[in-house]
Amino acid sequence: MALKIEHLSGGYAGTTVIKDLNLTIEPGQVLGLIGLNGAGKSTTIKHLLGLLRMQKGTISLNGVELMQNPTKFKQMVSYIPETPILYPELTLKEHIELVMLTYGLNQDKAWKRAHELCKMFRLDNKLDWLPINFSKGMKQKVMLVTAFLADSDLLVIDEPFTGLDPLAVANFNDLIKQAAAQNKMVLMTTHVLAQAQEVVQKFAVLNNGTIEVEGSLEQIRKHYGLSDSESFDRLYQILNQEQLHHE
Amino acid sequence: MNKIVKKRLEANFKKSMHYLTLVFNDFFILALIFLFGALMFWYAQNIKKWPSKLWFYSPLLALIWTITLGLGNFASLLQRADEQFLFNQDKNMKEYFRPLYSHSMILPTILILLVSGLLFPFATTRAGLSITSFIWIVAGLLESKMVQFKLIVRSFYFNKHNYYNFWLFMAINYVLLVITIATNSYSYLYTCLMLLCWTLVPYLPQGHAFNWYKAIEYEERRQDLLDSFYSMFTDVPDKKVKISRRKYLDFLISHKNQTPNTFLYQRSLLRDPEYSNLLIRMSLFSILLSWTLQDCKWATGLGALVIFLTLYQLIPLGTVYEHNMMYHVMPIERKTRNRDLARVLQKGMLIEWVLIAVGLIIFSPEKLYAALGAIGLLIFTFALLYAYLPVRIENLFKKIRY
Ligand SMILES: Nc1ncnc2c1ncn2[C@@H]1O[C@H](COP(=O)(O)OP(=O)(O)OP(=O)(O)O)[C@@H](O)[C@H]1O
Ligand SMILES: [Mg+2]
Repeated sequence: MALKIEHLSGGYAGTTVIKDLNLTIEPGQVLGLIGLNGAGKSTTIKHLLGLLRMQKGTISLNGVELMQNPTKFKQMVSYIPETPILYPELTLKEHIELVMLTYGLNQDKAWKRAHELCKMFRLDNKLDWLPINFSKGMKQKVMLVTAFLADSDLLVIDEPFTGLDPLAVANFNDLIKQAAAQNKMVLMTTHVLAQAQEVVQKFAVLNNGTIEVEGSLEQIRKHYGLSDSESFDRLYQILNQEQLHHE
Repeated sequence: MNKIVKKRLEANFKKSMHYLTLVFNDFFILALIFLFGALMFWYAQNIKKWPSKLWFYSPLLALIWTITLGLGNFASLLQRADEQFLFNQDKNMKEYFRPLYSHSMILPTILILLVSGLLFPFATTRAGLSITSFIWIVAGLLESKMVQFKLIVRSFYFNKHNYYNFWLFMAINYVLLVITIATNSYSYLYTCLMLLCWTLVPYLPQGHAFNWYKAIEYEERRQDLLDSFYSMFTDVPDKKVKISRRKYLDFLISHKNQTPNTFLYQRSLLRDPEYSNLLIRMSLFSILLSWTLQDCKWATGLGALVIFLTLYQLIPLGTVYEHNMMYHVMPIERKTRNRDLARVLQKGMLIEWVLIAVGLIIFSPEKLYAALGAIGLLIFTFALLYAYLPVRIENLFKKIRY
């Protein structure tokens, strides 16, 4: 029972972005994927979601391999993208119903949960609206509601903190902790380390297409020789230099 | 200010010309013009047979004229950014609006003259209006439109009182017109009254501050209306595809035995104007044909053509979600997609058949043959849905399989 990414190489037609990437997430673990802009965080996620064709390697979740059985694999994953992606012609209520239908959820239980989530993010009086007309933050909240509603084993979140107000961030953190307590796996990318630290147990640094180091923030500090007084911004400078060197 | 308006008028004129040529190239509009000609022919043939001076003629005439009067908005050509760039120009807005009155009057003038021209034989021979009265009324209508525009512009400022309400304006005009037509010989009073309003409106007290928000909202709504008219015929790049909620159509959505695909396709078909408008437009077209042709053989044949053309254009509905990343992330089963799309299109086409069949039966003189024609159309629709549609869907998805 775990997410295993093994020897993943891939990218876009013509360009290889990810080279021999290995990553494991155990149940109950929240992993933070960090790296410079363009390091390949979103690309890794797209592979994990089956949106890109891998050149090499395997991805499996709870023993189900992505390439062998994509529908079953996707059944166990939910995703919150960098920028909200909605169905323009569905109301909020219908977005929720669609999740119930695709993930095969129990109607009564799921609706109870959906109402809780909508209330938490102050969307409960907007059920009959088309979210495509919402503000940026509200759209992001719709993505949160539907993702947490799906109750999947693996939650994949690309940069969760953009556009959310502090209240929503606190709620989001609570939900992540709740999910971890229920033995779910969470993979999130972020640049806001201070905010992520509250929920993330393990960080992984993605550089030059592969995971350079994994561990707690302390361990990562040590790896890059950062003293306790230095801010984490230093890390990004070091990564930048390394990358220049690599090229 | 003058330069800005001039530039905008030019740009607007170019844009309108561009779209109008496209609109008048559309077979639908050409067919409408043809049908309109047929209707006029029928009107000319039959007008002599109608009894003269029935009591409802004057309210009817007044109603047609009032509706005509309501068409056409004031084109301020303001843009969102003006709020920032022109915000200290409140005093000069009067100058900005001046050339726009005559521009905005073009469409209403054409409409008023056209409709009045059509009403002329009826109004003078059947409703008992004298020719001079008729001319007075038309002149009064044009003045009334000018008054309306003046009031609208005045309402763009922060005033103590609200000077303009569309429905109130319409109601007042309607009442005045009914009285004017009924009294006939005093019809110049309407004209004089409007002239008086026209001279008096500028003396209404007016606030100094320009209500940018209100004015821009008004202009955007006008543009949107125009764009949605144009987009029935062609792609309008400025127009974001506006999904219409259309709550009143929700009863058409079925909830039993849904797959994610039928769930999504049903809603796109109803709410994405690209598909829903097509269905509605084609059905209406066929009904109009039945009405004007008054011949159920022709109406049935053309109905079949309409059904085929609708289905043909609806098939791309299958790929609307191809570019939505969430559609690929969600565990949506692809194996049943062909069947799911077919199911939704079947339902859409049956709705169209009902509309066309009802139109055919109501408007055809020979009801029995019309009913037979409707049954024939149903058989034709089923044949298309079960023989032609699956093949086309197969091809559609073959092209995008990766
Ligand atoms: N659709 C695409 N086609 C080709 N190359 C792409 C595409 N999307 C991203 N890339 C390239 O892949 C590399 C990794 O991009 P990716 O989006 O994964 O970065 P990221 O780590 O998510 O960055 P950010 O922190 O800005 O989100 C970049 O060099 C980018 O230029
Ligand atoms: Mg990214």
